[in-house]
Amino acid sequence: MVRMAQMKPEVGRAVAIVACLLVAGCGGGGGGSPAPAPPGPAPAPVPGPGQVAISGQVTYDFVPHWISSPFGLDYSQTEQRSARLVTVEFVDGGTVLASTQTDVNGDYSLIVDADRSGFVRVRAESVRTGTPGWDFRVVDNTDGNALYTLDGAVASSGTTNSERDLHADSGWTNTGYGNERAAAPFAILDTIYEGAAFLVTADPAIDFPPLSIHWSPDNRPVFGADGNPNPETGEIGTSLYSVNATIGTNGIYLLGAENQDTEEYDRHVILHEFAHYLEREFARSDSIGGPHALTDRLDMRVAFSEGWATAFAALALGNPDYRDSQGSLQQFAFRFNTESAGSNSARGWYSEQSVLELIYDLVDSGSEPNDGLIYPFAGVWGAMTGAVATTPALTSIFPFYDAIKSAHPGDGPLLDQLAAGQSIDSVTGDFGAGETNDAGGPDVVPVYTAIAVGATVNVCSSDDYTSPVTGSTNKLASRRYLRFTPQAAGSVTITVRATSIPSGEFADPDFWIHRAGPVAVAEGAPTAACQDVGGGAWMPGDCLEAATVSLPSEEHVLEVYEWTNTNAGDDEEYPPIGRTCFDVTVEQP
Amino acid sequence: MNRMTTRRPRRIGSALALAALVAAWPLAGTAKPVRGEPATAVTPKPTPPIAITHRLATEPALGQPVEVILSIAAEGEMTGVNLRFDADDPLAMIDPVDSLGIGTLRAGEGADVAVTVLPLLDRTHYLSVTVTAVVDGMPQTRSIAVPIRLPGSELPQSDDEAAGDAEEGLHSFGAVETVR
Repeated sequence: MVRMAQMKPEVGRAVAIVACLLVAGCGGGGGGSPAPAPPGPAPAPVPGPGQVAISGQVTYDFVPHWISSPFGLDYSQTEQRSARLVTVEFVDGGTVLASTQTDVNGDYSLIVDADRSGFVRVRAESVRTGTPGWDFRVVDNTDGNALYTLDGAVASSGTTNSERDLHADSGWTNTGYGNERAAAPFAILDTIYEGAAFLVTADPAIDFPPLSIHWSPDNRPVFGADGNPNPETGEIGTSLYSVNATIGTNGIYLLGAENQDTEEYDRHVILHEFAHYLEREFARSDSIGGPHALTDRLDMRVAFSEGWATAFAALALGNPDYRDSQGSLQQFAFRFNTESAGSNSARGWYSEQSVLELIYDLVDSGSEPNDGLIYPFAGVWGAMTGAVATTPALTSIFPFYDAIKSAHPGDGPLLDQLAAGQSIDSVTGDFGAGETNDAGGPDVVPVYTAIAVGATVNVCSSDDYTSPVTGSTNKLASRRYLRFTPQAAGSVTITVRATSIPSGEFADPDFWIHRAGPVAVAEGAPTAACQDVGGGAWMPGDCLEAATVSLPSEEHVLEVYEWTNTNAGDDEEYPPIGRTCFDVTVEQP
Repeated sequence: MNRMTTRRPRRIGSALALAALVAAWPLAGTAKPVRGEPATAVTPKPTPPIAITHRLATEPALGQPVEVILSIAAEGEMTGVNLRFDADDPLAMIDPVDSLGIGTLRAGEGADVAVTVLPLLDRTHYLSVTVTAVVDGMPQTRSIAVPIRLPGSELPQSDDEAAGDAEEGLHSFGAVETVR
């Protein structure tokens, strides 16, 4: 079958960045070049005859992490923070009588008719038109994606100017969330704003596509009964970014279940997912997604995507101390330092930790061994939106790093030294040609195998890198990569035929074709002849996948795999069968 | 490759047999792969370095005890392994225990823990499990929730109701307001 694929002590630095954005002539915090100052809200208007000004400040509770053990949320240190650049309205019943936006101090001013009954509403949205522009909203996925708001009490606007300060409470009542968690949407939105503001320093003309961030106290670390995220019930499985009509996701989804896992104050987690949004909207990601951990040996696309996301979060917050609070009373945490995450031996082009440390080290001012470089973040962003977005190779550390090296030819030795610190060879080009780090396995390098039209090459798919923590669906060497260029535009027949299958098993070879993004997929089920393992005439070659597609005469990537090796280890029907080898041919008439 | 070589069953709660493992769920944190789908479907946050899976010994039924078997595995050595439990109301734990210490698990070792819970309403219940341990010299935590799904039961709906503007759909919280 072939079908076309459809296609966290970070406060001081963060405040400085945002202040820069709003002060003309201020230099870019991470970008190196001066960032133009996006204007904040217009100066407070003067009330006309028969009008009054209602002004005030909007704040929210922010709960920091414990500095030391147990490292989770420390409610005793709750602080009030300004709700920056959020929409504020004066509402009478269902009618919005006036609207404005807070400034970077959370201050607002509305002009309304005197003696008018109404209340002040703060919407959990930040909308900015112009350059840069954005539209970020925090909604309740368990309540029809309703926008969160913070409402004051109904009162007369009076006959003289007045002040109304609105505060969103965390809802914490010493032993649990005894009250509604009004602060959560605003804490999330403020972190998103911080990430956006950081990126504006690197890309002042950026126009962010609309983004919805979904949060609910009912968002639990449990997948739906069908094994997929179920936004309507809150069984989202984990915090994630996903745009997929099949499973009904569209944006960032954040956990909120008390005593299980809450994210509203886990700023690195929020910006990790924000970075996935950036990657999808402005760069390109071929990542297959799925669960991942620092110690995993991952499919290189996953490793790059996840490493990028964590590095972005740490850079945007100016804080390498990643924290993810969890568990009873939110008091515990999963944590690591993005500069040095312990004695993890899984280093290389297939490691998200290697990728995140590499990207972080390009920008940070640290002085670890091998890190003698400090580049503006704009260079990293340029590689993401340039080479990574357009490469004919799959998105991985290779096109990214090649772009960085090309932009800094004089720094070649230092860049090679930095990569070597992560067990990545000093290769050039988008395809990682010459990379020798084989993770100790026979089916890892070359990263891509070149195949000429009319030739046959043999590659093997394995489940050797299954992780006890994150399973087998997206690990190194399950999927193998080949590169080919049709001699002429037109029909191309690709055949993947099994040559070696674990005893007693039958194979299910499948493949994808990529050309700067997915082009076609061939994932037919095994034939009856293939499944007749005990039959007298059975041969491994009975198990094959073949397809003919029309392609241009451009470089393509062929992704070949034994389908079961991409399944979960506890898959009841089709768990991974292990090392399976295939002859791959590419033919043209 | 690390393999679980030692299983050390531990038991709290009632003495139901461990043998009757009739249900298995995907690895916690794993979305189901979709054949033929561009696999950019789900990009989750990083997973803590603690392996934990769960199974139910029997199919859940209203008012009937159901045993939850939790399996902890160590990729590298984990010391000070401790489990904490929070049962969502109205899920009751039989012989409730707030926490359970396991001690040290060497690389490749695993441990099973069984707890028994009692679903008291015809709906999905959740048992929260928090595992803390020192991994690679750092205190780490992984929290999961075990769904107890009663056959035919409705999934829980949000207790919160959208207030106000029906056209747009708003979920309104009350502000702590100071008027001057």
